[in-house]
Amino acid sequence: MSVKADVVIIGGGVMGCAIAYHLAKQGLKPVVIEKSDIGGEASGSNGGGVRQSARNLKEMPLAMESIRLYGHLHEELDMDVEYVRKGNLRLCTSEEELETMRKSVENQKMVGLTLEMLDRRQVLDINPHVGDKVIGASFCATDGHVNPFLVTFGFFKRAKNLGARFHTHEEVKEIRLQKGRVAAVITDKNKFETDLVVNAAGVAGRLIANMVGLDLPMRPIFSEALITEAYPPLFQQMVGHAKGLFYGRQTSHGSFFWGGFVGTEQFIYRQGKPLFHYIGPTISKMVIDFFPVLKNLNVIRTWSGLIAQMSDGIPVLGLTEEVPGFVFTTGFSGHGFGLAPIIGRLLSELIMDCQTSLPISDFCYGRFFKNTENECSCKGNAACTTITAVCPNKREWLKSI
Amino acid sequence: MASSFIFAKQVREILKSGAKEIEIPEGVRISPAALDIIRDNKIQIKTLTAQVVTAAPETDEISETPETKAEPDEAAPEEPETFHKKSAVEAVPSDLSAETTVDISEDIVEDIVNRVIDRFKRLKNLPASQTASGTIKKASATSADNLVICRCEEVTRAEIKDAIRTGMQSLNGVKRVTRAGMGLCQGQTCQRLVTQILAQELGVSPAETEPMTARGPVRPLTLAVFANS
Ligand SMILES: Cc1cc2nc3c(=O)[nH]c(=O)nc-3n(C[C@H](O)[C@H](O)[C@H](O)COP(=O)(O)OP(=O)(O)OC[C@H]3O[C@@H](n4cnc5c(N)ncnc54)[C@H](O)[C@@H]3O)c2cc1C
Repeated sequence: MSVKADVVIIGGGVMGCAIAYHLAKQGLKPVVIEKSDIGGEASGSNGGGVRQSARNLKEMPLAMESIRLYGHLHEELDMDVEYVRKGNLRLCTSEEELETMRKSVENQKMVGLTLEMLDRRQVLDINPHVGDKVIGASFCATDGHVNPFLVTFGFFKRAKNLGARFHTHEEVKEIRLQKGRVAAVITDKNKFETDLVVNAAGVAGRLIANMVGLDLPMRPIFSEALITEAYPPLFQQMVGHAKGLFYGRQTSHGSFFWGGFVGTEQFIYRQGKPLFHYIGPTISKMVIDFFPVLKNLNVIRTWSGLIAQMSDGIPVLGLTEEVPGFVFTTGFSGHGFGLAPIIGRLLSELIMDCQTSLPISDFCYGRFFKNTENECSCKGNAACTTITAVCPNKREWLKSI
Repeated sequence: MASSFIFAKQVREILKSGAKEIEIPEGVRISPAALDIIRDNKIQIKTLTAQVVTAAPETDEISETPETKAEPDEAAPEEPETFHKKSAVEAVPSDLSAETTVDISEDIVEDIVNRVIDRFKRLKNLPASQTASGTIKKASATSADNLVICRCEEVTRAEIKDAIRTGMQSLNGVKRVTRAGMGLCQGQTCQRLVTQILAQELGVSPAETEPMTARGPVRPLTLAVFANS
């Protein structure tokens, strides 16, 4: 069946749903195509950490605005998303870790984030349950965590109510170009005629880019996590190791989420989402080391997900001159969930007005093809030049060519 | 008549055709899921009187008699005929003309009807008392909806149906938004029930739904034990 669509969003993860919501709110009728169920991939298997600290500095303005948006997300989505803003402790166990952390904290302060270094006693004031190993930590009070399933579901539900159309259990197979521009999206069930397609396919973002002849320096990184039975409230911060070896939180439900890395993950390549016998136990060891009180808590489930890791650790956002009508929103490199609300807003601004309220040129596709450290000069996200052609409210322009 | 049960699937088809009214021959029951849809969409129920039900209780035919008013029932091919017996026996007075002459005793009919009711009840996961009455009342549909399906996380049938109707079309999807199957037993108790609800809501057979992803540990293990495994 051939259908016309204002815009086709590939991927019903949190990003796809958030963009669909913002577009639908402005009167577009986006079509979202999701090969499994809403939130079936990373958005349905992540830790729900919503942090600004320890991010790439280029992401900081977006992360800070995103945290503000998370503050009233429950009103916007008209549902409780279990958002808790009680800070993020990144725990250090050695002088070396402390030193690295101090430097990083200074850098983050320079771009406007409020956070501080704590010694062991100060850490204990905030979280009395940390083990003897911990000698200090960085603490960002405005960080927090959220229930990722509910956020994704909430964006989906609102988008749907506002007129977005969702096709789940339908897979994008091909993107057709005409005179170099996006012309249609072909799925295993339908054909959508559109001049605007958003690549929000998470870890499959590279494959989707390949469909229009582009490639991304991205690879999937395997990541395991576990959940425990419920326990009375112990602490509300997001906590983690200074180097990110493990991270976790207590959920509103009372269970503890713990994720972590043993170091071999980036070499794991398997179809599907297998589990490895040594990863869960290693995460558990770290958890007990850092939070001994939890040692008798039952683990009830382990699972794995894939992280869409970019070579430089930051996402690819926005348009590209090379294929007009193709919009990137992928490569969130393992910490995308915290950015979801702002990404939804910025990408919808880009699609509606060809400009964004916060600059996203640092994240353009063109950056991979410059050999310098200098700011990328590709026109992709910078100005309304080639991209004017695909702006839905400027479609007249298209007719004139 | 072709059907003694109106299923959700048929109601959806009627909805799709844009009709705001549904004609239901007397004696025909409405499945709880169908009733919900009827209620949610404020569809009028118009009951057709007994004369249009052309069946003969004395002769007890098994084969179908043509009846154009009723919808063909694709959702459950075995139930209609047998239920038709029951409705015919109970609801239709004996002055209707016989059209076929297959001879089956009332006991056999009763037996078939009971088996179908049982099967339907199992399908609906309702205690016998709630479906025994001739028509499914609003109240019984509501109490069925209040039934706790996932006991670990106390998720009701209504919450599960809600999630499915909003767009979650897999067990994993339903689980993420309702928590059904996320508790201590990891769905060992409720998975089959949730599967049934999902299958019924989607109008497919339970076998066609994807199972929940099975994950370790098979039984809960403490972090300390797991760390050394
Ligand atoms: C274990 C784990 C823990 C994490 N923890 C955190 C955390 O604590 N904090 C944080 O901020 N981030 C975290 N992340 C990262 C975060 O989950 C992701 O950055 C975020 O969910 C990305 O959302 P997305 O919508 O881009 O991708 P996804 O959620 O992966 O969505 C992409 C969707 O596209 C669909 N798709 C792919 N190909 C096709 C196709 N051809 N046709 C149709 N549909 C298609 C997929 O099925 C998928 O549902 C974690 C990730 C993992 C794996």
